[in-house]
Amino acid sequence: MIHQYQDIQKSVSISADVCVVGSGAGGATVAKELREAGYQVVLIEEGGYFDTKDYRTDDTIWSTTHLYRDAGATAIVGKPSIMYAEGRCLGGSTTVNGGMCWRTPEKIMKRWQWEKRMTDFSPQKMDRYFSRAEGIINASPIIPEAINRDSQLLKLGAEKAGYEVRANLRSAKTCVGANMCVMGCPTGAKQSTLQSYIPLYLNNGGEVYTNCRVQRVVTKRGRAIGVDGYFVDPITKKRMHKFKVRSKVVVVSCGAVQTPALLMKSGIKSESKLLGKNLITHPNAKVLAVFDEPVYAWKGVNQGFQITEFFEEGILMAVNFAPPSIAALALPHELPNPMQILKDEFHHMVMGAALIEDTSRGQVRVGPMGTVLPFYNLNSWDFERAVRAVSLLTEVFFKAGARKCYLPFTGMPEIQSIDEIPKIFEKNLKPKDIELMTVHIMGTAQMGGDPKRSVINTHGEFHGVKGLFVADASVFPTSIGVNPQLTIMALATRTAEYIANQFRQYL
Amino acid sequence: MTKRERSQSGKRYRIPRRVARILIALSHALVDEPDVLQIKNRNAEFLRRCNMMLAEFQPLVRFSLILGILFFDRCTFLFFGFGLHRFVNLSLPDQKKYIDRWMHSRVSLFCEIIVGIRGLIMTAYFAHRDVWSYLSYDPNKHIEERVALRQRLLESVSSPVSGEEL
Repeated sequence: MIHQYQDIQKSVSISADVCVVGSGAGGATVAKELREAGYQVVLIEEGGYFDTKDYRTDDTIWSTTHLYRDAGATAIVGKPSIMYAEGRCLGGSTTVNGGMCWRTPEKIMKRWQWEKRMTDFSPQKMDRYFSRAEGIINASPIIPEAINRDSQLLKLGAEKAGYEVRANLRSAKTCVGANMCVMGCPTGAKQSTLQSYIPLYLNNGGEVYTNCRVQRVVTKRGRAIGVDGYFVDPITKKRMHKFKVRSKVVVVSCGAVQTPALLMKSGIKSESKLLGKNLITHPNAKVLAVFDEPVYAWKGVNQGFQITEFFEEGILMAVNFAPPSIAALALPHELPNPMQILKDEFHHMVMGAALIEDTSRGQVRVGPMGTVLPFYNLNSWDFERAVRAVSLLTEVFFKAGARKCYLPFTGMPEIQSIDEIPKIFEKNLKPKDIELMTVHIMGTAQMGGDPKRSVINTHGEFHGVKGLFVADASVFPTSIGVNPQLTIMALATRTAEYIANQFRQYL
Repeated sequence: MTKRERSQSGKRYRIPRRVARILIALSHALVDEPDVLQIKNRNAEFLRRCNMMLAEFQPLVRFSLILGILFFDRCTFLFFGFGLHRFVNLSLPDQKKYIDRWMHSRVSLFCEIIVGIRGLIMTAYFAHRDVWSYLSYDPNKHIEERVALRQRLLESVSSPVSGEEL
């Protein structure tokens, strides 16, 4: 049953076996698996409950303010400052992501095994967890006819340049390409946790509380014993009735920014002092290519292909559609008259994104008034790769027939031909000159076998706090270089299995 | 009256009036709105959207942004050529020049502030339906078609829909 804000008339106090905070890729997975194993689970979500029929695809502000944290406009402070977006609604970021499904690359798993004593993280041992998650969210290829023109142009350009391209796997059932994934799928095709894990959890008698902000994880003598929080009025944002859960196990799945912040606010400290550190952003740089032919990027499936040629270098490239409000934001601010540019070129635009598997590390801090502040500076190695990735992406677009490309660099807003690409490298750009954004934050409660070098153990349990688990992207010790949804789900499935098997020790 | 009723009858966040005036002036200077574009309730709708977004921000972040907007409005004297006039009282060409100075300032804080403000304004302004119509962007018809198509696909798996329909 879903308890929404309007159903709550007084303070709530509950006892349960497991309390899960956050309903995204990690939280919903743990909740569903443990409920299915017969445990009494309470799933808590800070955002509201909005289903397919509620999404307003013609109102981007409604979507950003109802489905995203901070209206999708949170900044990571640093050089450069990076915009990031994460979901805050039932289903978490899976409600507003593109639904890409890629397993953790082998090279990453090997690093985790060697460097972090995560000996069980081989592709073979993780296979059953990945398979289980893939089955539930229906990770599958896109119907070829539903692929839109912008994806076809990316593929065409990559093939002409001789670069390897792969068709994306997405969590969708009969997706016909409404291309509103980031505003909430209006057809119900995308298998966010709201369409997959949460219904299964509810069908098994699971309980969900929405509009409920957890203030702190309660611990007693080195054990997690529950959470305290309050309901938030979705309109006025006022603090309403209190909320209290007492449970044997607490699973925190609030994402890589909010999870460490919640634990820090709760006074929980990591022996390694790494809680909140190791912030990885997997940033992406946008290139807006303009073609002579009309593209109508909103007609067709989001992200049909990815260019994987440079994956070993940590570069992944794809295209994505952005409505006018986001496209206007992505235009270089030095260009005059964005209205005229969009009037003339919006239907001819392809928005490309180059993702960088970053080696830079930032941290999450809790500031005055409980403000959660992420900090991150891009190092020169990552910056060089970001510049290279942008140049490669512009090359692909020019090969596909683009007549110009808008670049994410201050002081170099556009280039008109493939011959101008070397100018990017002649410009003496600095990290502060690049505009980046991200939706893949990771690493702030890193997993590992050594308590001195990690925050949680290889089962997802906090080193030194019994019964406190973390199940989201904050557990990744390094950037994984691909879309993180499936890795989060697989690790969460594994954590849930461990909790179910070992539950007696938490009684 | 229950606590919930009291809360719902309470006030939503509202942008202070003096800040609203600066945001409207900034939107004109940043967007270059063509004369042919007639937006219904332009300023009210624009501010409503800004309000909705600001209401979602963390209080300290919102406070900092508002402070940044006021600072931007008052600090024309930091740059040569604008006298002691506030931003809102400058002519449109001067407003554009002033914004440009902030964008290209050597003080990174100035750049951060104006980029943040620009982000808010662009997002709020370009989300208006009349602007979408002007740009000939109308996703609703496309989405309605796709919703119906998916429904048909789900209902009749035995008679597959042709590729042309997609």
